[in-house]
Amino acid sequence: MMTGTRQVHCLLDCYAEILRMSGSFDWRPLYTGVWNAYFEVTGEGLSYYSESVDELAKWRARFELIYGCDVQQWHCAAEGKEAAFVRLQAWMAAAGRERYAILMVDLYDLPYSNQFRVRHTPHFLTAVRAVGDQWQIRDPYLSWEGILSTAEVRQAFMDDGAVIGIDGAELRPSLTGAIRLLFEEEMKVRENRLLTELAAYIRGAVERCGGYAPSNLLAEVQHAAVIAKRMDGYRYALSYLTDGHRLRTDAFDGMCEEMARGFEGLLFLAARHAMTGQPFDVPAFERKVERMHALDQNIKRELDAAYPIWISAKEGRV
Amino acid sequence: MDGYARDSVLFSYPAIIEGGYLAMTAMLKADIVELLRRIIAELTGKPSLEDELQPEQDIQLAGMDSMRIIQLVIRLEQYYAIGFEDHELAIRNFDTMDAIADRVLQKTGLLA
Repeated sequence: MMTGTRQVHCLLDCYAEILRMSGSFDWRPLYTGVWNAYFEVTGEGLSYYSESVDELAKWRARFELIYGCDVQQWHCAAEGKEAAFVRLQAWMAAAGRERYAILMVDLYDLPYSNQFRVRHTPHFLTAVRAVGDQWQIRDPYLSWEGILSTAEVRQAFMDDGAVIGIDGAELRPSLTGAIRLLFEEEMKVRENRLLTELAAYIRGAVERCGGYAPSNLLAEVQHAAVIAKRMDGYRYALSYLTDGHRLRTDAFDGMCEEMARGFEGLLFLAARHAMTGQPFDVPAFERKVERMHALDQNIKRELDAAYPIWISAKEGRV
Repeated sequence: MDGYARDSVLFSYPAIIEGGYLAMTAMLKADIVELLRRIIAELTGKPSLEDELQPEQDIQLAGMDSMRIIQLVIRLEQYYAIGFEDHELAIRNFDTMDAIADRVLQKTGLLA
């Protein structure tokens, strides 16, 4: 079993971290379909977070479905930031309980973060314990663990943020039926939306600029680098489905690696043209996009093939 | 004895040439690292990095996320008039100033 997560999706990485801290729960099913997780595309670019779609509710429902526990959730928008923070402090202070909280914070205000550096950059981290003025924090996405003061946590806690409260004692081992439902649902989506939307955005921007990449193109598509990390969910899915079958996954890992490199390549291409002012190399760009679409289909076919093996194993036929 | 001395001088030529080459490469590498420090300090908005960043330090931990690394690489391509191939353009290939400087030297043909 894979023992640690990579940077995939900051909210799901927090859920997975809590599963690891609470015992021997298999966190991999949680990432089923993370490759399809929603992101926003507007006239101003791609955004890894959305103001219009409630992704929090979706992943919370999934966590509850897979691990059979009730998750508490409260929002600053409903009760105000200060009241929500007081409620968070009360949640963490409950004596004798194995309680965790996932906090929505502004990356800009985290003292240990160097990412982005613009205000209103939503991010999630896990509060493990709060004793007096000291908050034990784990941020699996940024690979950071340490102590923050109450003032630092309060400062980072977003004005329009939210808290997800999980009681570790309520967690149950993952439910096969729920995983089947989610996997089958997610595998119906055959398109890689990030690839489609990123390619369309770059293509449109270049066309509007008469064959050149606009100088602000990189800024507009920079979140694609964050969204692309979600494709690592493919690895977790195959690892989970083939667990105990001693199947070689080297080729699959290679395809996932190539996929990650492919997104970097598209961003490098966009950056190079935007920064040098050279005419955009459309044929090279389209070849890359086409290759990546084919690669994504191959990855999905591998998962399709692994699924019945997993089902057989679960039904005791292997 | 005479023959030995002549042979010895002849024998040492490659070493002298190699020594000069290594010294030159080291100087060029130091120049590249200095340039990298300046660019990284600017891209991260942290002027102190110009003095503090060490060649073997992971630049992502110093605030160079993937998009900043992409900008850094393109600036190097422009500055040194080099072009990295597609297969070289992986973020993990540019994780320290030391590794980046070696890649630039390789591109310019000064490092095998």
